[in-house]
Amino acid sequence: MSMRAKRLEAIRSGTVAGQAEAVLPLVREALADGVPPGVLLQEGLIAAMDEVGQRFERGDCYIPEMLLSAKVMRAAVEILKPHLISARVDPVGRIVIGTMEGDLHDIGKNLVGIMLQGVGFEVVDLGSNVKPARFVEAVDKHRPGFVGFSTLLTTTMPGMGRTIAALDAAGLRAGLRVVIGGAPVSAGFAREIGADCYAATATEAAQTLRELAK
Amino acid sequence: MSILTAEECARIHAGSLDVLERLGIRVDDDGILALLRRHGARDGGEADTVRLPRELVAECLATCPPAARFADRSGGQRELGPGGPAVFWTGNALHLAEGRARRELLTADLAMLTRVADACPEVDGMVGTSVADVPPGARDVVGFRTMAAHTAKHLRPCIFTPPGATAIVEMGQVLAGGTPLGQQPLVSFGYSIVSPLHWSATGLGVFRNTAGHGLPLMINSEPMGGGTAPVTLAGSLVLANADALSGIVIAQLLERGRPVIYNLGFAHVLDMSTSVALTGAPENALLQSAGAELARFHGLPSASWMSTEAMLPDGQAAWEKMQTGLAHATHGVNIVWGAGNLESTLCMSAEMLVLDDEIIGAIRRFTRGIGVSDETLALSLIQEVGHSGDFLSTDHTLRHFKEEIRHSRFPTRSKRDAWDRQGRRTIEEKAAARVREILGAEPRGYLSPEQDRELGRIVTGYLAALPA
Repeated sequence: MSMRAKRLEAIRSGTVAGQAEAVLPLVREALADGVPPGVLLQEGLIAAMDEVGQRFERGDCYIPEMLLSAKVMRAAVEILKPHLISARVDPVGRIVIGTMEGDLHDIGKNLVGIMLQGVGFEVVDLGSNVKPARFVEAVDKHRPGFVGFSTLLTTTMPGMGRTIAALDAAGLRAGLRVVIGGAPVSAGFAREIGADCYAATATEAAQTLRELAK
Repeated sequence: MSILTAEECARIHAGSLDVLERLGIRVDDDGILALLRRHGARDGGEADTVRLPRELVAECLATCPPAARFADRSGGQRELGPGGPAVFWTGNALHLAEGRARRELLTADLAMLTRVADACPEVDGMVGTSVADVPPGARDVVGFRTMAAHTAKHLRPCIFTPPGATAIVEMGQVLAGGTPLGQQPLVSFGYSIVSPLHWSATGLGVFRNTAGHGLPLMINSEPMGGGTAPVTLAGSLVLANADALSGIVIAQLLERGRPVIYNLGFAHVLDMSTSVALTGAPENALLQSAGAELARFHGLPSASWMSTEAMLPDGQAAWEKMQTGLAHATHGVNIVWGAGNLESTLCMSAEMLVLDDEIIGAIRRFTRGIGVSDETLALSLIQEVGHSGDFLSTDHTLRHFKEEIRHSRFPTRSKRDAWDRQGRRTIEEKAAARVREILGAEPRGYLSPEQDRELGRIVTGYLAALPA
């Protein structure tokens, strides 16, 4: 294995193991030695989060451990960011996310955000209790490929349909895919309100959107 | 919640002492009768009955150690006594449950069950069963070799004849190697009185033939409320306590200081519509938990079983085993056997065994309770996270989640979609798959060639000497 391959492997396995103290210096060294930032992102960090996602699905790792890996990944991406911009490496995709108006439950949405960042998405998180107009405004500003709504409450589910209608009315729906999630919603409900897809878990959301972004 | 107050324990005990002193016990062994008489037991009015003065009972209780030690062949040793933890063992049986039917349990089945038990992390010991393909007089001895070959866990053979007990002590010594078996009790014994108050020759033979080594002896009363004991649970306890105390007297006269396990935990009640001696009813949980409280009153280790009347691993089996197992663990029973048992302990089931392993894990998490310390109160963390924040991504969660939230892969805990995707499996189907997985792995041998040869020699000699 070449020096470069060894280093990429160390970044990947260190991220899987959640070891920031090992990974971050390696990322800096690799950049200094001229490894392209896009390669570091894809073959080191995203590959690591892929494995973490698979292990999680198999039941071989737990949410707090997955979050630790994601934390390492985000810290590494902070280091890479200026280099990615100057090397014109695009993110896998961009998404605007938030919980519905009236719903303050955001832990699931936060997890989705972390997992999407983990697979290389640029995530614009509007937080919780987001009115339809704010989604419209953010989509208009960031022009993402995706917008994601989450809700825990049945009472705030209708907000999803209203937000889609508001995006339609603003003429922002073309080329924009709406993904929904949260305990009371389902694939059937997604079809009913005209959303493009539904994901039951954060890891599923990451996998599905990554496929769609290709 | 305690079931009996100290005063109620004292009243039950006073009643039992009165039963032993005025009514006494029936003893089917002349040698033991003579031994009891030599130590102050009085004539019981019939040739085979003796009355036990309360002084004799008190003297024998006083020589019982407050705890019993149990070893396994992985180097583990546990001291079990009042206030200590619960260990969980498999159960005794005659049959093997297969789907909705059952058949006689054979040597190969005991080997299979031992392999499954060996793969169950929460199961601490293996109990012997009958093996129908072996002559009745040798089932314990052949079964013991089978168990020893497939697990290193503590072994508790069920003895069918007194010579079988002698052979198994010898086999246990082979497993213990150079260390005296009593110092490393890889094997323990026990027997049940025929309630009310009647010790059989076989039981007494087991007591005698296993004495002299310091090996733990479980003394079981098996009253049947409404059948062989008063239907009132308090009355059943009076008789059960008398049953067990009489066994303790005999055990101590045979070997002073022998560790005994006071076991009222096999207490039954009679179902008044089917005449089945129930084992998994709430009354069993009450009687058997009260038995642990009486054991604590005497300062002795205790035992019980987690049991069910269900014929297959189903909802009834799960609730009855959980109710009895949880009640016993929370009331301080030290040894709970019955993992894998169905049908009032008549049947073993490999699927039930893996389900019981999971039930035991949940019971253990419950009895571990809630730890309160500066670290677990997390006061500064609560301030730090503030309103509407999340604790999921904190280091505190990462540090503690594994010990605080017991992971369980077995019961359905996924979301509906994942459950749909994974084939909508029931817990019974998952148990069957787990059993297939365990048995699909390469069997692990636990005997060295020398041990195997030695055990083989003892078994062959035993079978050859068996009366035709």
